Amino acid sequence: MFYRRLRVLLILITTAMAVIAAKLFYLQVVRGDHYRRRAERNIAYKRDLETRRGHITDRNGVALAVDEIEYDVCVYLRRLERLKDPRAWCEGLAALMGRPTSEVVAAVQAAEERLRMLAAKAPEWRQEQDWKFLRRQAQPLFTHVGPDDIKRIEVGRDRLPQYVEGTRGYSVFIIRDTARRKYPHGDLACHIIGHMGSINREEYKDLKYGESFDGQELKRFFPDDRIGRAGIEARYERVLRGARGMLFGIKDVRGDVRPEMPSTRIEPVPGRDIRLTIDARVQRIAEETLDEQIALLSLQYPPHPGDPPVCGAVVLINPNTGDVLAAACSPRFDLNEMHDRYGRLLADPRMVFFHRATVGTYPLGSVFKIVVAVAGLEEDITSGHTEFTCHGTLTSGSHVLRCTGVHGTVELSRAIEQSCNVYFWSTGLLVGPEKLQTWARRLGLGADTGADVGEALGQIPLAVSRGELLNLAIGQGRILCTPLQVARMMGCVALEGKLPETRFCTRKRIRVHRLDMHPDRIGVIHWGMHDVVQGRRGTARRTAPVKGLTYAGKTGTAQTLTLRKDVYHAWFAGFAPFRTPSVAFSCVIENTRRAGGSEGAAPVIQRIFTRMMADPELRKFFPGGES
Amino acid sequence: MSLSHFLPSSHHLRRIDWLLLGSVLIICTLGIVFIWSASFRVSEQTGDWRATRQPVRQIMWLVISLLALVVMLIPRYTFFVRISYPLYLVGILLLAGLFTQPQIKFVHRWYRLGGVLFQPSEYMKVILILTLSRYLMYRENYRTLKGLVGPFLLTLAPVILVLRQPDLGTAMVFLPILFALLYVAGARKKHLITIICVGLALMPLFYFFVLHEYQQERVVSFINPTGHTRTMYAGGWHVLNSVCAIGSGGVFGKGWGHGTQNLFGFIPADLTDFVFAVLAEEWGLVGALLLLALYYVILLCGLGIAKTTREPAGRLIAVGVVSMFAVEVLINIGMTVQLMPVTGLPLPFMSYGGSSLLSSFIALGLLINVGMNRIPVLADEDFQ
Repeated sequence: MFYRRLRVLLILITTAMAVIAAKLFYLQVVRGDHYRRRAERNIAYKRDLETRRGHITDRNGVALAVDEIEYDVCVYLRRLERLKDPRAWCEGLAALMGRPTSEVVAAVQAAEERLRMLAAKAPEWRQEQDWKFLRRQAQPLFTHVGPDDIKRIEVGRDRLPQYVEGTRGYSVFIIRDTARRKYPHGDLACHIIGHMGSINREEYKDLKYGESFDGQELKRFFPDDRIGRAGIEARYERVLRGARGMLFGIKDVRGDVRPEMPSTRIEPVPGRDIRLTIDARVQRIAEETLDEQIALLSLQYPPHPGDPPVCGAVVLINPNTGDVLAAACSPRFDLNEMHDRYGRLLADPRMVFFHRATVGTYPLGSVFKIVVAVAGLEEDITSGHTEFTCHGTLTSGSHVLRCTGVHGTVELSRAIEQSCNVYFWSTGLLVGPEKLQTWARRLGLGADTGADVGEALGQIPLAVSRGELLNLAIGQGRILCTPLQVARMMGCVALEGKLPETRFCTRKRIRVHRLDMHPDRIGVIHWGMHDVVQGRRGTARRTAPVKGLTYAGKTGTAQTLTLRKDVYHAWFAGFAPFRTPSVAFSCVIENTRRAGGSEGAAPVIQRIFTRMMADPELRKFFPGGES
Repeated sequence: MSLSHFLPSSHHLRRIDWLLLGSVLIICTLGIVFIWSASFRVSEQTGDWRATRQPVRQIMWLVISLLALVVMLIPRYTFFVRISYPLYLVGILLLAGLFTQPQIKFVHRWYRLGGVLFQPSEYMKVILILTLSRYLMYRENYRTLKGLVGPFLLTLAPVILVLRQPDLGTAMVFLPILFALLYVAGARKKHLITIICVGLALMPLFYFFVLHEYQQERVVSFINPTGHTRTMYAGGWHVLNSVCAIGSGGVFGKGWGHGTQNLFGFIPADLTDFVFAVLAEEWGLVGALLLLALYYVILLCGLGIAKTTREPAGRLIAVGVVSMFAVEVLINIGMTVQLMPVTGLPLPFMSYGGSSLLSSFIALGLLINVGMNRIPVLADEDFQ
């Protein structure tokens, strides 16, 4: 029996051994490749190296938006806790940073508190694990640390106590560098530059954003990335965005890279810089002047409660190339502080984020008379000598329409100078609704200007009734245009048919359209606009003239859609200098009370040009401007 | 009596089972080699040769163990059988005395003697084999259920004390030894199967009332290893990484000192409980099967000694030692390849650790001693 039972024991042992051998065979041969891949994944260390976003500068290279490297001191809370004397470490760091020890201790406690809050967000069964996991990761202790402090910490870090586990010592903290977007000029051209924002879940999941960017894996978005949300930052995201670098190495079970093991490094490629067509100085002058004027108007005509706020925009472009020299808006916001005050800015009734120069659309008022005049001349319906007699009113059916005054018998240039409604009503009736719409669109109103920031189209209606046609002929009614469109239109009139696409960034190619216009006929309009500013009876003769600069303009006062009768949009648009047009401009002050184009908008341009003429550097924008 | 009387003569030496001892020594060498592998690269890179203290200590312990082996071979094994009851008493007292000691690594498992840790439960296994052998040697009554009470009580006393430490792994070794001894001594199969069935029926009670929470977690993670592995400290992490190390070794392994799981710390307790995973990763299936074969040779030799011995105590000792080695090897390797729940049980002769090595060599000494001293027995039947 004993031998039989020994044999049973032997069989049992042999069977068990065979089972183990079979399992080994299964693991190492059948599933060998699977586990080999898993083991490789276990030790694969991959770290992204941060890159730099391209800078945005003005046309002269003045930095408007730059990526600055900032340093964060991050601490491993678990290692800190396991030091023999955590307090000594805090004291050491405080001494290096030149701060009181209590501040370091408080920061450590704040970090602990933050982790507990973070972990509390997880489902209950995972909270403990999450909390432990987070304590193993480096957590920011001080952010926005200056380079001088960092240098001192780097020099003195060896003197700080280290966390020793086994035979290796580990640093309790690391210094992490991050790039943060800085705007040296604050609110200058804030709408053109545009703000940055976190990528949202939908965009990240979207293949176009999530999978690859520009076909490059290294430019791929991460869930916590920030992308351009408006203006140039959004439009040129591809150009500005840099490619991340990669560091491949071998890590141990703690997730620390082993420096002695071979590693590969792909250097980060910073994003390309972008040069705007904006001149920072002109932009600054335009913005300041606009703000001044709006403040002045508010003083002169104090707003009643419930009145729409007074805002405005100024656009200066080079009519030869379409380069936007300045596109100022009021109100503006400081890009540096935008994220802290986002809620308040969003709640502002003035709609702070609204880029009025390109997406604000307004009825044109008398400025549209230039279009009517061009249409009449180019269609050979009127000529420079066509005269109409103004008795101060025009009767249309049962309506009696009032002119701005009694102008008598006027020809075209006089009609523009005095902004005679009767003249343009008559011309409009002769031209007809279709041709009026066609010419307005040809001149770029209610149409894409080709700008490389977001812009509104506006609209030019096709007048369906005599009444509407009369209204349209003086720029009232359903017509909506952006200041950029108006400036471009003025440039086209100034250069007799040269109509370039506008651009904000020098990367965009210059494209110039040509309209078939007769220079000899357009000259009458030029002289009319010249007289608006410089003429004896010009509408803007009191508020627009600039010493040493002869230029052409046209005022406009558009009724707003509100029921209030005394709330207008004040316009002033034109080109300068008169003989060699090199700047086309438009200015709109919205919701002015009682102040029309000459009183509300013309002083802005006057002051901008005066200041530009006073600056020898900026005077070169008006070649041959002296008269 | 001269001194030479006590020393093994050439005559004695020839009767030592050299195949058995040779296999053991090869395994010990492998153990040192892979303990070194787990620590040498650190010292190579940091230039800090303190990291090699573990293989050096293991060599030191091997020398001590070999001396103990020689000591164990000097008297006949019957001497140890004769003093087994007092030894048992001492063992129980030492186990009970552990609870007066301060905890080390949160358990009452070791005495701290100077710089070394002394783990009485390791030696208790050998003492239990001796005690049971003496108890069962000339008895008939284990063929009745009542007669089984004695051996069970003898076994359960240390088992309960060890479980209280808590040390499930070591406690698990005692019962198979008892069953193997009862079985070969001739207890009725019917009884043994009944007891095993009752024991299995009581398993849920055992699970809920005896096991600690972390032990329950290990059982759960054995059944469902991928359950809670979001963080590395969840239960299944050890086994998953051990299996990953073994699997990634493939047929021929990654080469000694090149196991990535080993080098970068993914194998938990790579010197002690999971040293087999280090070997299987670096030498692959070939190395793992070689080691299994060596253990199989040891077990076969042990069973051979049991077979050729007619003296009842010697037989039982041989069977006990073989079953002890078998259980330890199967549980340890089974654990690393995910056939068993994780229990902190060392691999005999291979794992880093003095107590384990020393007690294994003492058990080996007993086995070889039985094989050396054939005592003639004048009986027709076994165990008379």
